[in-house]
Amino acid sequence: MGSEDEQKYAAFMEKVKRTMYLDNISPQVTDAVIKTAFEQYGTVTNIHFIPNYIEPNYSGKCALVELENEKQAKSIIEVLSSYPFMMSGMPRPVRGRHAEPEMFDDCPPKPGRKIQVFWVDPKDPQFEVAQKLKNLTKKHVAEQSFLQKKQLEEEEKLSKQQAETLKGHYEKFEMMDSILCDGTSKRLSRFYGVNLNDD
Amino acid sequence: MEASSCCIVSYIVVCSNFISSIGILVSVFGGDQAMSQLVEENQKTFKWGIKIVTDDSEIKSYKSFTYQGVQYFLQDCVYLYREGAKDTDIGKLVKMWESKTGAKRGKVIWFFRPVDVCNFLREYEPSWNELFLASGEGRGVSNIIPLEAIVGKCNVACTAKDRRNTLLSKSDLAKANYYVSHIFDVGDLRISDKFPDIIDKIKVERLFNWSQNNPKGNLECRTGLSAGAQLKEKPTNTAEKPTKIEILHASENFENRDKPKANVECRNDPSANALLKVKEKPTYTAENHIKAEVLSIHENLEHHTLEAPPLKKRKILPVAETDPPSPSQDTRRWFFTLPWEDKVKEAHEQGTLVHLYNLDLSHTALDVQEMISKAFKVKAHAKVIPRRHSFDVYGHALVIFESKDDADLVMCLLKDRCLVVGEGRPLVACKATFNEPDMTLNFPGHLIMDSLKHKFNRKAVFASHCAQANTIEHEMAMQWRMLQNKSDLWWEALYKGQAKEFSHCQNQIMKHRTDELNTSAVEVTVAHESSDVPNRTEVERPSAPKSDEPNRTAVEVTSGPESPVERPQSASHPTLL
Repeated sequence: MGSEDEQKYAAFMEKVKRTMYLDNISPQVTDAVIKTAFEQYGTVTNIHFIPNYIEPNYSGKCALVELENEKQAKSIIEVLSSYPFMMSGMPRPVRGRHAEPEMFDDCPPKPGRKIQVFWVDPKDPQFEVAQKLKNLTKKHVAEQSFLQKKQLEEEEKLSKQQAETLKGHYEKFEMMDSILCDGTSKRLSRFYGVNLNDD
Repeated sequence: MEASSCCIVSYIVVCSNFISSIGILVSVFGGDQAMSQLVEENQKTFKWGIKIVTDDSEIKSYKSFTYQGVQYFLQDCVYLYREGAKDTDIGKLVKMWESKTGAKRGKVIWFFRPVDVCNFLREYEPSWNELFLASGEGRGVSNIIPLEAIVGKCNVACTAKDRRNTLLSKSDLAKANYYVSHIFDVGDLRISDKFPDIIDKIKVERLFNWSQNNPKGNLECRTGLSAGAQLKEKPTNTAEKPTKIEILHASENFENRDKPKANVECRNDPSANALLKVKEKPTYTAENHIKAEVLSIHENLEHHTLEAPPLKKRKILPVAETDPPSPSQDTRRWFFTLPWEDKVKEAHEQGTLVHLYNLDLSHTALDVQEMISKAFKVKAHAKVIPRRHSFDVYGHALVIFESKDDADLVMCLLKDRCLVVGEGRPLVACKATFNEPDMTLNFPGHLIMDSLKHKFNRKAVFASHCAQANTIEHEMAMQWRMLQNKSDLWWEALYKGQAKEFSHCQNQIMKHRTDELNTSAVEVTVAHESSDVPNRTEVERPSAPKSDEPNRTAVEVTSGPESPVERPQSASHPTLL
């Protein structure tokens, strides 16, 4: 029984090494997109999206992508960190890092672990410390959610800003396109005596 | 342009029309206007030194020269000025000569600064004064430069553990401006600590440190003789290729690469500070309607307290326990398999969903279920929520109980008393807020160019790719990258601060815990009495005075948020160049 647990755990750790954790994924991205995206670097064997329940705000979907071997995972993570990788052309680059065992739902328990629980009563002088810790935890969680909210605001700001610049660029190119098409550019070039063609 | 025209490597501060921004090698011929001007200027400050005797009558090779008052020898490392570059380049002089037109030329093998190759470093973390020696086949290993571009001498020590290298003494190392221990191969684009035998036709021994015993003069003579053959080669080479223009790009193509690890100015600190000052109070509205149920649960409470000591005792004794039937087997029987999302939704509606946190990070879902069954004697189905950031110390889990009463009971108990888990982490529970992942929510960073699609009248598919440096999307991607890095930093600051506060508190619990364990373990082995309670009170009395400490920690805790935020400022200064 013990060795079987250990084997399972070892196999699981092996899987963890081959897997990478991606976030900042656009909600429109699906399994197929991820698969084709990473085809150039290696074969993807398994994709698991981590659903997000508790946070009302979120920054992108997260996924655990399992690859064929550790080397592929490492090389992809290197690429993701040195170059901005746009998944399906979205300007927000995808981020990746090595997976950790806790990220997996089906993580088998570490062999040889024992779960310890004990109650601390109000009569116990430790109780105060424990209560302090509980309050601290609550406070921290509140801080975290607040920071998350702020972060989302920042992201939205940037997104709006980029949308505007993009619109500007687009209009510029539209304009250029249109004058090239309808002959305005030819007339203008004759007027100014500028040679349009690339000679 | 044609081969006859000469473009000068833009090391010289002369603004003229023919200087191109890319370093293009000159084969010195048809004297350039600008060059002759410079030659005249520098005639006075430039003086050749020891000459090397060669066969070639056109090209005069030298071992040293004096320029602007500083004497340079072969093997010296020099700073070179390049127009438009933010920093000087550093190279090692391996040859110097004067062409038949009088132009003074030198060949340098480059040292790369870490910023030049930051994309290819992978896991290697260079120091601030570290350089990489260029090697391999390809562009960027060496260049021929006009000697007037030299702006100063540089002391570069080679600390490579190569048998051909003589290691310097500590004092010499301290005097060095930079040190080199690795090479950067321009062909493979990677760092390596194995030095090849020859770098660009130069024997690598000449690139290593000099033996400090011999003054430079002597060594030169010796190497001059042995490398005389090499020096002879050089003049013939240049004679052969007078009409070719070799394009050797200086390390510019590396410097112009995008640097995702942009030097993020940590001005986010004031913003992070502002964030933490305005704190939201968590509202646990569940408390209100649980109070009514408290009275009815009082009997259960007592039941639990009686159980607590024997529970502890069992943990202390190294007796093989018969674990209750593991939760995983149970769940198969009483909980028919629904996809987790539906379960959660249903549980939320029924009020059986509880959000448990302050779990130990290594706890899995099964562990959580086990814990709950041990402590509360109820069955539950748990799922661990992966933490958002690698620095977060809190583990979260969503737990679905069989009934609303169970859920309420657990929450009430956890509120009134403390269930300590693992190494001193009291569990905290609250009513879970369930949010359906909103698919229509505008994901920041989503730019929908539908109009484009209509225009082309076909399904425009945006492939996944790495953005190239000269596109619009690249700029946008860089902005996002910067934001991502910034956000990483502020999350890190928050988590580290929280972790510090947390561990401080946790240590106190653990201290008490181990004290108790030690003393009560002794007690138990001596007498197998289940009257632990009187023993415990004896042990507790000496620890009573320690109750002052929690109060002090409370004060520290509230002032905590400010200090961690300041810390990142000092820690991040090195990133500001």
